[in-house]
Amino acid sequence: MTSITGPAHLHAALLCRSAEDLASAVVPFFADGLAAGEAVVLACREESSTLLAEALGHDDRILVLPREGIYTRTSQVIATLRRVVRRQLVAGASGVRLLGEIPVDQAGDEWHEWHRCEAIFNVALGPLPLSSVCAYDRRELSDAICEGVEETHPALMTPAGPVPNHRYVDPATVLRRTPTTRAGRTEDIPPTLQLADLTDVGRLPELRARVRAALDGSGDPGQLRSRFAAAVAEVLLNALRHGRPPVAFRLWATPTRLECTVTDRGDGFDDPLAGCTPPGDGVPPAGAGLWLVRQACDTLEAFWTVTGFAVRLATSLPGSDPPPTSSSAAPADTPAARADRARADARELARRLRERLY
Amino acid sequence: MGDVRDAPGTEWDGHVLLLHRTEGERLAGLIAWVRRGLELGEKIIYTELPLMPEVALVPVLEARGVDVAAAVGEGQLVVLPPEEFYPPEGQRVVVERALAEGFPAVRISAEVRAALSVLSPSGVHGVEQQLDALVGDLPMSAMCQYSEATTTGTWLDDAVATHLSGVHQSSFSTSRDLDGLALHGEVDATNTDVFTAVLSAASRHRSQVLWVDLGEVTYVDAGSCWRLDDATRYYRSSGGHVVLVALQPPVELAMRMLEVDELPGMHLVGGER
Repeated sequence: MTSITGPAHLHAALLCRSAEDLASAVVPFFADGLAAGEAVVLACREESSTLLAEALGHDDRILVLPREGIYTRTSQVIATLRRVVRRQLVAGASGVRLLGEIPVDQAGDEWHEWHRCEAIFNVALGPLPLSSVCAYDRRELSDAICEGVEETHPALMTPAGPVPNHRYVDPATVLRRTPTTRAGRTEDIPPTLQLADLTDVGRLPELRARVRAALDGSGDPGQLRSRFAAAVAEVLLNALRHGRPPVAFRLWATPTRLECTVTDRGDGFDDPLAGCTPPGDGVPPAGAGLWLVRQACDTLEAFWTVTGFAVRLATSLPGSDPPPTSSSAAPADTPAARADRARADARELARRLRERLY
Repeated sequence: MGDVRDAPGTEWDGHVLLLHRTEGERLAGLIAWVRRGLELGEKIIYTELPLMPEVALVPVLEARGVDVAAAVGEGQLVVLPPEEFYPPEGQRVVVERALAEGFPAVRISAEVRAALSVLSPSGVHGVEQQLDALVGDLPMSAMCQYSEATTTGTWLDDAVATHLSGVHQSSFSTSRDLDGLALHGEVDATNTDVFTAVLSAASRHRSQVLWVDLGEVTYVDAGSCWRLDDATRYYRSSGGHVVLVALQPPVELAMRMLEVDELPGMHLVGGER
């Protein structure tokens, strides 16, 4: 086997059968990283973090993250890790070595989502100086899932270090053949909002207002609805700007799911990784909209129909939260109060910045 | 708090840049600007191309229900030919002559096409710079009307730089804030060039901290978030700090998803507890 020493970004799978397997495979790798001036980030089970931190001498460059807060959905994993890596670099680390213990739910849709996430990881985090090891407990996995793990990692972690994985499949191929989560489709009920014959990009402010009104009217305007509205606006813009008119839009907003389709008459795009990588430079910046869309909703599907090219977005909503009890209810925070507080905070920040600059 | 544009109508005071996509947008802005001057009892001086009677100011105002007969009769509203509106000795004399008539303030306006009928493009830019200084010195307002379609590149950059706190586009505008600059409206692909020109120009005018109040911005699209980096990069890399203040939740959400808050020297202050 050939040892990997090359690229800054490493994405390795570790299929282990015990905590001892895990420790013996990763401790030397992380110790080497610390010795080279890199930071270590652990996003794994508490007992694993404790074991590894002890084995690494409780070095203060080890950052332990709660994996339950990270491994929720693909966009959350990518966004969190990009921030973590950048902050470690700003703090002076020359790179980051990450151990993630992925909580595998073997239900079909759940696994498909993580399978796609692992493939996307290779492109979304590729430019960063990150060496990551994804640890899976082999005893808990079916053979099919093990194959999925292997095909999404360019390297395998061994006690001798990372080695190339010849079963690796390029991410676009994995995404093309892995189904997007489609449970609970809503298209067989009448849409909440339907707009046809859209041709003018100048109507975008009005269209955004109508989408927001339809979403707000379907339930409490929470952050998930706000995110979805932002995603819809970007897809509408893409269709009006880059597609061929007329554009048609349909939105379904139920208590448990938000879904929309945007269809134009153009050729569309055939890139399953669209929006999975940060935007490029240039005017306008290519990919900024889909980069936001990927983060702002659960799924993005692009496909051809008999009339043209369609993009479907969907987000699942949790059940309604119980109303707060009178003893726990916080006083209402009005937009004006929030803005006034922001201005006061900003004045203090500006004062400190000016002091620091002088 | 902080925005000096609290009173209705004040957005048409000072040195205003009206960026219009259509003739309807231009006339709507022009009528609001004239009404403001009439309400305040100011002298209104306008110029227009003589060969375009279909958009001549007085008939256009009257067709839209603005009664200017008395103002014209009393000399409160005058339309000058471009040669008199842009005299060789500069517009200060035009304004001072009007003030000498006893008006409390003066407002002047022209379409850039009218300016270009007697001035070169660099001459127009020079007049704009002089006007910006005059508006600070004298009791006056000036509104310069530019077509969005032909105002691009350095022409847009120059126009925005000389009207930094008075940019008016159909869905986006700027105003002076007691702490810096305030933006209003929605930013998307249709006006992102204006948005980035504003930020570029604003950062050129600030030495240490650029305060941008976004409290009245309800939407910023992904591409515009991303261009915040380019627009302010030189300023931030030279040690400047950009403070984006009072972001509404959807705007802050978009900026965080586009990692604007991770840029060196960029600070988002949204007011969340």
